[in-house]
Amino acid sequence: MGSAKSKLLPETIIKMQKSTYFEKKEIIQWHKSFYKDFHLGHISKSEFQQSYKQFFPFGDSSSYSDLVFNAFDKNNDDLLDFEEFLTALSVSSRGSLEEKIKFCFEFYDLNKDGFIEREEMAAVVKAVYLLIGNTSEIPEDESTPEKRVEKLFNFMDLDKDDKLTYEEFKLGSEKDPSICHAMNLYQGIV
Amino acid sequence: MSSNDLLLRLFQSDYFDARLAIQYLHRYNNNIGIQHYICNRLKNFPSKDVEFLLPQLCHLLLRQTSNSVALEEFILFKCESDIHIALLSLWYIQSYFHDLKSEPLHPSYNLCQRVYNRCQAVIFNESSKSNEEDNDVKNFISSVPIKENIPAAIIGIGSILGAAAFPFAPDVRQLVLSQGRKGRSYSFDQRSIERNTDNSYRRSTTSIPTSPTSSYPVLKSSMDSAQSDNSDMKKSSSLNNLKLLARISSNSPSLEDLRKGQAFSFGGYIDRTLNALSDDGANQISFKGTSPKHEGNILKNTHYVHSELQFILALVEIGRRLISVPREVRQTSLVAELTLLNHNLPADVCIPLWCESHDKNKHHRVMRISPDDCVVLNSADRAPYLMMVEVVDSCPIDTNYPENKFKADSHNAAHDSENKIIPGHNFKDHIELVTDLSGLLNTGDVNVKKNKNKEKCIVNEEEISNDFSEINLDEESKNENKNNYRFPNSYQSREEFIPVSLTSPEEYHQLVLNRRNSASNLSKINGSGVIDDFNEKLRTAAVMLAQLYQQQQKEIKFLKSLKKKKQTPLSKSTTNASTYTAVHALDGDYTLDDKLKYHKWDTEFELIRNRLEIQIANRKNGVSLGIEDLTDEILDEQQEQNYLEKAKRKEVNNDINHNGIMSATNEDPSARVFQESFKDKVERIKSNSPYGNLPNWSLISVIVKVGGDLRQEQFALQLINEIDRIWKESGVGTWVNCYRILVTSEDSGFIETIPDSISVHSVKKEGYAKELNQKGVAFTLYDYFVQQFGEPGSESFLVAQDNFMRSLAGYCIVCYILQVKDSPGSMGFELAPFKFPQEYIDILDGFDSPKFKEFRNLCKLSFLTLRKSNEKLISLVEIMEKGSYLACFTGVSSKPSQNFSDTIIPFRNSFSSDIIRANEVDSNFIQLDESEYPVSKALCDSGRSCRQFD
Repeated sequence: MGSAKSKLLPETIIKMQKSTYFEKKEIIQWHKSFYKDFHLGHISKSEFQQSYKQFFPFGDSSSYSDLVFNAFDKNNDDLLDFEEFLTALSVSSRGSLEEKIKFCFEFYDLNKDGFIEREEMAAVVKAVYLLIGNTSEIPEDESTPEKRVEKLFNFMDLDKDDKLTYEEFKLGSEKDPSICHAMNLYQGIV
Repeated sequence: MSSNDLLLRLFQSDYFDARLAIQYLHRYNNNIGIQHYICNRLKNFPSKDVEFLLPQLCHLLLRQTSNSVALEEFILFKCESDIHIALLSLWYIQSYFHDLKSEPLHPSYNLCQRVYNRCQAVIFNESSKSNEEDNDVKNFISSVPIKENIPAAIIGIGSILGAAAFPFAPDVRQLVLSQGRKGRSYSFDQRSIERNTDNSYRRSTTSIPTSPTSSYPVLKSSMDSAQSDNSDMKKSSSLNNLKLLARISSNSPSLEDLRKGQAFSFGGYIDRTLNALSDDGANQISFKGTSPKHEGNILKNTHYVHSELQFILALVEIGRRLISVPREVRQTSLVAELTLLNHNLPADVCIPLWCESHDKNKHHRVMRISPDDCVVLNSADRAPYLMMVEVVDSCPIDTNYPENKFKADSHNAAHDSENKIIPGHNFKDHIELVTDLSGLLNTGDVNVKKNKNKEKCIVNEEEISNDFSEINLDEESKNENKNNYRFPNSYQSREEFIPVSLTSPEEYHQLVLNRRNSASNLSKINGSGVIDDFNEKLRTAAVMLAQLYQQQQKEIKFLKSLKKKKQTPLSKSTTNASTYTAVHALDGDYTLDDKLKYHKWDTEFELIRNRLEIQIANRKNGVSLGIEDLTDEILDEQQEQNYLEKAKRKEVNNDINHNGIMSATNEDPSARVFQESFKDKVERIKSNSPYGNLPNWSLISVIVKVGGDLRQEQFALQLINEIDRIWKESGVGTWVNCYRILVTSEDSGFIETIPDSISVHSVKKEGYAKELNQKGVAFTLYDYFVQQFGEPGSESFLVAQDNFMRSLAGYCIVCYILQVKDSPGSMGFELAPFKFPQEYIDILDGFDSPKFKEFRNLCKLSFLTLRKSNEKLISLVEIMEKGSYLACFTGVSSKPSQNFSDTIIPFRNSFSSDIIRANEVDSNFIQLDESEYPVSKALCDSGRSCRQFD
């Protein structure tokens, strides 16, 4: 993985056609762009952070960008190759809502034990708040990461055991229009 | 990280305004997040500030490379919400496109092209969300697919992952999407670029119907490519055809439309639209797909913009035509042109910049442009003109065009167009011109061979050439006397005309009938119908004359080919003779270039012009000449001499009788102030106007200038405006007067006039002429002050003196800061470099007086005040400097024709070079004791800079 070849092998294309929602032409297009921006054929953690800094200049983006990076980096080699990138893009743009929710659930489940503990959620929320900084107006009942976590768990944690099962997370996400809206960012346009 | 924290604190502070915002847009040009943040904030700043900074915003957008698309999105957002900003942007972008033509491979070129097209799309309402059937458009806006931008995609996926933790705010969403949609290096296919440079963007080149110029279809073909670029747009739908059309029919209004009086009317707009539709795509366009109501809505929405562009273009084109008309007939032509334009007013058009409204549906409404109060301001090689535009403020746009009427109209128009030669053919207008001209020459008594060939514009070539050869015949021998004719300037005063009985050609009646209410109101007021009729004819003739001049460049080729076919021995000799005369006549007044241009002119037009001149001159003197006099006989010299003498006599009378209002010298229009104050003028026009009694009636005095790039002057004025603002805020008491400049293309624009301003030259000339001083003593400005404001020491004199001091101080500092070397010569400005003559010192009671000390202190204080706020000024300059084509930055003017090169030279130095102390500012002013000491030098010596005063 993470090969520096700028040429997309036919077998890779076929493989990706199967594993993603993209067609051959699209795969080639994205691949071309990928290599233009990242000549080595992969994105390092620091390059990834750099992108976040560009988009979020006023906050501390390092912890959130690392979290996202890890979600992409399925093989944990600290490098993000084209296949990993496209897989993530495929799910988040053309996947069903359920697939997206699953993708997200895995993201929050930092220790991969099948549950989102309150601490895990708190870590992600805190990272997002740091990322955004004080640029956005945030409603009073979510003004701190703690409040946001509290609100989320009140809403999603049906059995009040301080951790979210996949079912709980799925139900909660589906019921919250703003979460669905955010998850459907790329709906129909990628 | 901490530096950005500080930045954010600044952005969130109360100090952060639009001016600071663009500074930081400039400084952080490559930080995507900051760009988007600032642009988001800009949306909430007053539109007025955004409008003021629009030159900088456009410049940043087009000449500063950035990975961010925030600014582009912001400008288009503003265009959508504020139609004036949209128009101004369109003109700016267009002028940048002109600059960039020379480097079509530059990334800015494609960017510019793209933004121009998008701006047009916004203006012409292609993003209208009002209608269900607009679905394709709506989708286009909200669901434009993202492109392969990896960083944006990474952030996008990240925001999806974080959805539950925190559903990101809309601005993040927008950030991700708009960056995601960013095209990679905006690649257009090369062919479309070439097509553009070759065809579309050429002024007065080939094959553009109805009018010789085409400013707006600029990127027509590239728009096609932009569309095909976008698979979502379905080309063939009738909806798109309508939209497309709104953009395409954007030549200046045709003579025919102007005559019908509906150049800016909604009905006329629909007619043209449908005409063009049937012309353009023949039967491809069917209206079946969409309801008439829907089409009507689209048309309504685009109507204002369309009319507005047409209106401004019409005014600019008038100026352009004036240049090609001989000096002596320019004033007449202008009056004629504006009279014709008046037939189309009132209309839902406004003059942006003067129209303060930022509400999309409220503009002032142009009611009338008083033809009698326009003046051609001849300068060396241009002919700007001053016009008085009557407007009524806060007038909601009247687009309530009844639906059924729309249907009826569209039906009629479609029906009409079947009977007509569609105006796609270059010749139609021309033919009409010719036939009408012959009709006009026939006025008076007999219409000999009038318009036998005029049946619905279907004329065959043979007849055209017949027409011309007839003219050739009788003109031949007269040419030699051509130079004897002088065309009087002041034919306008109506009392001069001895009523002649007229048998008007039929179509002329029609023309009159077609006039709208406004025009007929006017004629009622202006006196008897006969006289008015006659004036009308002369004016129309002059307009046609002017248009002929313009057209001939295009027609010449065709005419020549005709002549070859039917070459008669006569026409050949005529050509020689008149070409000779033309060149000979032009020796004095025209430059070499002009001569070459004139050289190419076809004789026929020259001859027609001669005849018209005589005709007009004769009419002016009440001499009734039959058509035979002009066409069948040769005027003998004796006769001409008579006319000439009479003309002269009348002119003198005119001066006396009418107090010279109309015959005021054209050399220096500011001299008019002696005859009539602006207030009186407004009152006079108001009382003469059929609209004068409307509430909110007001008058705009504006100069239309064509043939020069006004962007640099506009920039200078912008700086002065900013200086004024700084002074006003500080209350330092220095006085400057800023005027508005509206840039409408790279070589045209509108300039506000300063009412009741007189050049020093005129003051002196007047004083001298009236012999206010004893002989041998020059009439100075000081004398003028005494004459106007009373004895020195009197209260009124002291007030005037104080005002003068405050103004002079402002002038000195501005001259120093901007290092003004030269100033536009259009409105009575001194062309000589600014000096500080003794007489200024005299007005301030002499060099050692307390007043002069006060003046020096004021200068010092004014300068230091600016110094404190120098960032604001410097940032404006810095932004404009990079990639600028303005001569003040390039140093060497790339276009030698530019008048204003070196108006501003490197600017920063005036603030930022070495440092002087405050007392040096003071002591250096002492050097002003020498008269004629250039102030800029004085201040330069003193100036340096005062960084440590911060």
